[in-house]
Amino acid sequence: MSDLSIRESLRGQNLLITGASGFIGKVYLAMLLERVPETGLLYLLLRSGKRTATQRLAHMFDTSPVFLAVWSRCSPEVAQRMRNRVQAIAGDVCLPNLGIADDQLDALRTNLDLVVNLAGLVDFDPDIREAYAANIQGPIQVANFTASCKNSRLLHVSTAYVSGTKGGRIPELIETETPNGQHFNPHTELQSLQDEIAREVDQSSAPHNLNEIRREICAREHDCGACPRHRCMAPSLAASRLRASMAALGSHRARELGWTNTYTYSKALSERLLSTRTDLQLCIFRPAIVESANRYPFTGWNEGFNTSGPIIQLLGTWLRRVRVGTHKAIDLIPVDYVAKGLVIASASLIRGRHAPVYHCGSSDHNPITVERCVELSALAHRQYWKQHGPSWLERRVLSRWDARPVTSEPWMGISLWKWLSSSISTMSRKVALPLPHAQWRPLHSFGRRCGIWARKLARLEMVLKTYEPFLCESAAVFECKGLRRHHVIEPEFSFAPEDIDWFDYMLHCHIPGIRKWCLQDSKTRDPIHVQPTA
Amino acid sequence: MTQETLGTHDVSLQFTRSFVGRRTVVLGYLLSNRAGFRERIGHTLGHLGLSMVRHAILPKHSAASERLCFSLLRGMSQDRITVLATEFAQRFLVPTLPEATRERWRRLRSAGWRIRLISNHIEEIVTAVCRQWALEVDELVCNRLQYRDHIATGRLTSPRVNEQRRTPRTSEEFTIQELEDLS
Repeated sequence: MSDLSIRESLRGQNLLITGASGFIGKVYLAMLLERVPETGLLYLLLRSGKRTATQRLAHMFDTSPVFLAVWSRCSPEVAQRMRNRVQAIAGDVCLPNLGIADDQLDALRTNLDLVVNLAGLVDFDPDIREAYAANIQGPIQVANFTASCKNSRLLHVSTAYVSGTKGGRIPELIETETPNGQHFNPHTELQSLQDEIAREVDQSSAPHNLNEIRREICAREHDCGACPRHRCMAPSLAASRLRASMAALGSHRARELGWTNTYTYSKALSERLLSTRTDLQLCIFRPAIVESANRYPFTGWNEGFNTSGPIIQLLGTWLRRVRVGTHKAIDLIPVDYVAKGLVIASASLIRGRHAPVYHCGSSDHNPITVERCVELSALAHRQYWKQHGPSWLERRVLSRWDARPVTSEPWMGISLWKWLSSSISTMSRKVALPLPHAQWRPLHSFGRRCGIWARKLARLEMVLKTYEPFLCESAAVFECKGLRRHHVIEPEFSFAPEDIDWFDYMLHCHIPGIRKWCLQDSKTRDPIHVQPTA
Repeated sequence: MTQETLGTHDVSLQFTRSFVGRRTVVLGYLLSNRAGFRERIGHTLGHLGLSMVRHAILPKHSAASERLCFSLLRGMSQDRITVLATEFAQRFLVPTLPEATRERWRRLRSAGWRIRLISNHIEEIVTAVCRQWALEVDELVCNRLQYRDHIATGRLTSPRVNEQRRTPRTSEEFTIQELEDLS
């Protein structure tokens, strides 16, 4: 174990951070600003759209609860000094030279000491083109830019779930095989992925495909094909079908190779492509499932709705049984622990004492099982509905409904209810057709309501299917030795996930945090009473 | 005066005079809020039945009788028991504690006495009451449920505090003083 002083290591160092406007990025930036005042300039790569990059930065500083909390803890002068240490750079990670203007490039290449790449698309099964651009093309461009800098050090943030469906203890290594044990060449895979995307796009934009879609629309709308509105619908329908087929392509490719979804597949591919580079000092940081803040910037802070948010929301509804694997650990890690881990990794990379890969999770030292997670979520929802339930039904019944972890699919599962709703909907509409209007109307409306229920249940089924690998299949424990190898001198940066009290965290931080910040619950949402600095 | 010169003061939380404070009722509340609907009904009915017959078939407050009583909690998670105990304490027990007890407690603390709290309730209940009332305790002597992987085994760990005698079964002797004053 070696001593590492964060403040000494980062003293006067200039950092370029991509993806700083994201969930982890904001907390990492706030931590650097507040706790490491010795750091040099912090350049943030921000896309400019309606607002310029500088305006976006100012807006983030003035409106984000993370920064409002930071400003509220210090005097206006100190806050202003902190703001002055940050500089917005207009650009885009997907573009060559990160889309940075030429007049800024040379200065940046000379001044930068470290590039931290937090940019990415955290969507489990998106259109593969979007995942490719954000999670594969982006890191490649960031690596190219870093290699062109005087001090070419890159801290790339990936995910611990690049291990895919592989179980057991996952070491802090870059694997050379796919999770299901096939040989994996990242360059060949990238080429084949690009070819498949191009083929799908060609097929979709082929004239015969568009004509077929037009014919389909005409048949459905009982139109002869002359209506201009229907003619205009064809390209948009083709585009939406292309998006669906691209999403399916990504998911299929990921599962074929043993990854759980497009996100983990694209992250794994980018990691492996970067690891083949010899022209830069690289460190890969792999956080597990990043969740609400435990303490920093304040208890319960969360943003976005894409990690455990949807499933936790479902556990507070009428959903009663959730299929989970027995005694399987789920690796949750609060965002402040991730930010601490990132600071440690940044300092060690600057010192040249870094490990090639850092895992940042809790399953190695303080595991929580999926069953316990479901139980705690149900209890947290129980407390919420008892206190804030809008009606008697929520306060008395829903609060006691309690989602339960089960090991096998219940026979009266969602599929059955979906089939029933859909069948009733179809039947009632068919039966209603020959009836006179007075009898037809209620039956038809009932059928329509059943149809809506069927669609809702289909969505629910899809969400559960998306999370199935994490709840039922994955039994991975991510070794977390790298971050603990460094003996950090400053106690506020010590990385100790064993300190997390899961009961307290789930009941008093995470789930109230999700309700407050992600579900925008007005009942529990009290704004932070701080004024943005001038 | 220092703590050393004053020594230890044993106090006991008594809810048994009120109906809701009875351990049978507390257990009934925990069991009627188990996770599964079938478990809720089955265990609550079982508990009711047991409460009625266990004293008839077993000596009152015997170890076997106590064990039978707590065995119904088997399979409940520690998290659920803690949440339910807090709920119960907040809703039913805290309002039944007389304000005089609280005052006396504070007086003793401010006088420098070490307080050893003795209760025949389970730890989760007593802790919740103390937390709700912001009562500071130096030592807690109460019944503790045994857990394995955060799941209750349905057994109590030693020492057990008996409802009738209110003395823990340990080698140490706990003197109970001024119980009447506090209740």
